[in-house]
Amino acid sequence: MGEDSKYLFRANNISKTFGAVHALESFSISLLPGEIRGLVGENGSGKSTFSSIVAGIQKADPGSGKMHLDGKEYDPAGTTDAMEHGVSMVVQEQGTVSKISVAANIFFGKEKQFSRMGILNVRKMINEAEKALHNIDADWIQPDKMIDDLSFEDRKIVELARALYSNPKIWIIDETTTALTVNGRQLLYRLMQRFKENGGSILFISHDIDEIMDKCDTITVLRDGILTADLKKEEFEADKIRSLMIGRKISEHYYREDIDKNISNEVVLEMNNVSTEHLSGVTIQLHKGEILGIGGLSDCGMHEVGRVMFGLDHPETGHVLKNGKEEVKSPKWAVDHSIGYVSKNRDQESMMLICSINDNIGLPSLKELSVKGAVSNKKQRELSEKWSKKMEVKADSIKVFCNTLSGGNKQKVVLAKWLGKGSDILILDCPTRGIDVGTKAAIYQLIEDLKKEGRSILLISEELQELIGMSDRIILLKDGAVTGEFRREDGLSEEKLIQKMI
Amino acid sequence: MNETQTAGTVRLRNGRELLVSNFSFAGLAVILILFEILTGGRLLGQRNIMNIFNNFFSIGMCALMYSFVMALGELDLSVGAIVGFSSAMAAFVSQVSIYLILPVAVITGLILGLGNGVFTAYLGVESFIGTLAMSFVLRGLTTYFLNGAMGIPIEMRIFDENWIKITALILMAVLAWFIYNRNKFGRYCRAVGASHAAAEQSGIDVRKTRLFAFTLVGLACGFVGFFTLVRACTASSSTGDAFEFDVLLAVLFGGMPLSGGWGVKFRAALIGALAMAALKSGMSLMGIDGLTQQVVQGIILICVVVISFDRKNVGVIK
Repeated sequence: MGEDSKYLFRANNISKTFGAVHALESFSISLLPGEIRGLVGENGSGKSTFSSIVAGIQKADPGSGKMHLDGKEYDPAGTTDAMEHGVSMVVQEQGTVSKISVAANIFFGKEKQFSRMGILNVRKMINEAEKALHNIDADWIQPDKMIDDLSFEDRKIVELARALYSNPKIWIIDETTTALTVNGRQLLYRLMQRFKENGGSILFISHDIDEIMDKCDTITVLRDGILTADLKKEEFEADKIRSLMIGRKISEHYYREDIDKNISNEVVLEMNNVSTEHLSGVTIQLHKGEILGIGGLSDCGMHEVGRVMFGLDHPETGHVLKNGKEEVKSPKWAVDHSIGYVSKNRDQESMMLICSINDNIGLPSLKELSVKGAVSNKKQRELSEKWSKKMEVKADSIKVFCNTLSGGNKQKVVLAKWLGKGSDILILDCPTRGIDVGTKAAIYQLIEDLKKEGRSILLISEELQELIGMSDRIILLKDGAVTGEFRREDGLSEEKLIQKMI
Repeated sequence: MNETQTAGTVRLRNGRELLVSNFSFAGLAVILILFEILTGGRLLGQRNIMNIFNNFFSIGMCALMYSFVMALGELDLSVGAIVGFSSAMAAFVSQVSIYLILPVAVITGLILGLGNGVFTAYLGVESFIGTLAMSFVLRGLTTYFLNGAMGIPIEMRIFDENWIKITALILMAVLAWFIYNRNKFGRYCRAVGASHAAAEQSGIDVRKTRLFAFTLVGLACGFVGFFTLVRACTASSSTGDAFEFDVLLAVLFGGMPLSGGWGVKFRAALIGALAMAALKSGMSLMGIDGLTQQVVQGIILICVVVISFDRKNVGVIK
């Protein structure tokens, strides 16, 4: 007991199985008051399973192990029970309820405290919500606004307000930073620091190793549901953490290391003085064999650049040209002219989830797979087999439905689709968003290989490290306009780039 | 948590799919056996078989092409009205020349289907609403033009021969099967139904796909209009009445999900049409009146939708 009282939270030998799959095997972890503990692992390693057990979303296997909170046994009956015990969680996915106000979201499920005889005192709730938002320095959000009128990031911040309102002791942050811009992240980091100083413990889950190393006091590494390492701050080392996660040594380099000074002058895709609702007078030229990075804050218009280049959005003024002469008319035109596009919203836009890998990979190539008006099933299977093998998609067969795959594998299928089509120009919008380190490395390797084959890549990313690591040239946007251009050969650094972003 | 949750829903979905895909066969068997017993063997008797075929012919002909619209996750509630209107138009021109009957019926159907396609694909009208409106307009126009009923020369009945209809149905089925299962267009329809955005971003012309699908349904309705006309040798304002529900019920009964996508199987059109034809014929044999028949069909529709409707995959409640 003496040992226990030191810790704010302890979990011993927690196991969780789903059918034959061991999501967690005898996993143990402990949190000291004022500790920020990072939890890392590849997709499917059990991080989210564990955090959801702590947050009361699901139960551990009966008889597996026990959790203790504040020296008392802790076994939450549900999320509300967990919150009452002082455990709050913020997740990656959108956790707000649409069509109601910000205040109603913050106090969702806790309306009782504002109601008398069944009538909700909206004024009181809004005042309290204002306080809750003020407490997390988010005064710019108006509590009486409808949640749907807020940006995605602000909705996330509302979730933070909701999570922190009840003064929790344990705060679980599950992949939340991927949904935030630089400003949002700074706010989150400030709140984490404050939370820590007040003696709370944080379980911080992220794919971003640099972020984890920077913000956490200790790191727990999970692999296939098994605890592989507990690291102290002085033991932090990016490569070590990565290889602990993956279980094998990853190839020496993660990003590319070469500097290519001989980029062709041939422009394969360009936008000239394009203005849309989100862009104003943007001119961008992509050369043959070039990796062109597009960066900025998430609402700077970089995602729109990808959409316009692919013909999904039409410019109000200006032109999008392929090979300097042909206008990009529509996505169909673009695909027919060897342009591929990977959306940042993978599950909604890049793939058909309730369809097989085969159906997804073959989709853009059906015309080429047809003989006399009939799609050759054999050819399609061969194509899908070939490219899913090349991309190392982890699945029993190409008949597997994509909704059963992990995020990284889904993205591999999406990329396989364009490789199968043989597209020469690829527009990749946040291709590594929310994806595990192993797949990330594979995607970087692929981008490098494609460049070597003379293909051109427009890499749109919110992660500066990724842009610096991969691009021959980086163009930064702010408020829909180009603010800077940097060349790899001149040396790239975050400091240089950030100046042009904000 | 994510992965486990999806694994759970997948299991559930597979269970549901299993139920849906076998429901049609089981349902067909139940209908056949039940009515065979209730009618004392008359349902599948020699005389009634042709009766069932005639029901099956119209529903099946339309249901074949309806597969494309279902794959898109759309509905067409105007098929009955198109059948009625195209047979009215054909009856109208028969006064000029009887050689115009077939082409006018088919072309009218085609144009009306094209109209549905334009509303849905290019004007952005929800197919449910657009085709319902189309249906009202056509019903009104049919009544207005016909002013009751209009006959055509009785010799046109030579087209009501079984061998002609069987041949026509087989040709239509082969054509529809080829386009649906072998040609890329069928896959485009399913892709658009599965994920409209993913289809568009894979280089599929979503609007053209929608336009074609509705046009194909219109074409089938034109043929049905022609054969309905030559069978009765009269076009009336009640021609094709409630036919849209016969077809809809048939494809749903056959196991096509309302949500569209890859779960839409072509065979469902034929199985469903056969089941509906047997059901209608069985009820008529038993002397069940038209209104009661509608009650039964309505109840079956509700049951089928409850079983097969995957709410998560549709944006608009249909």
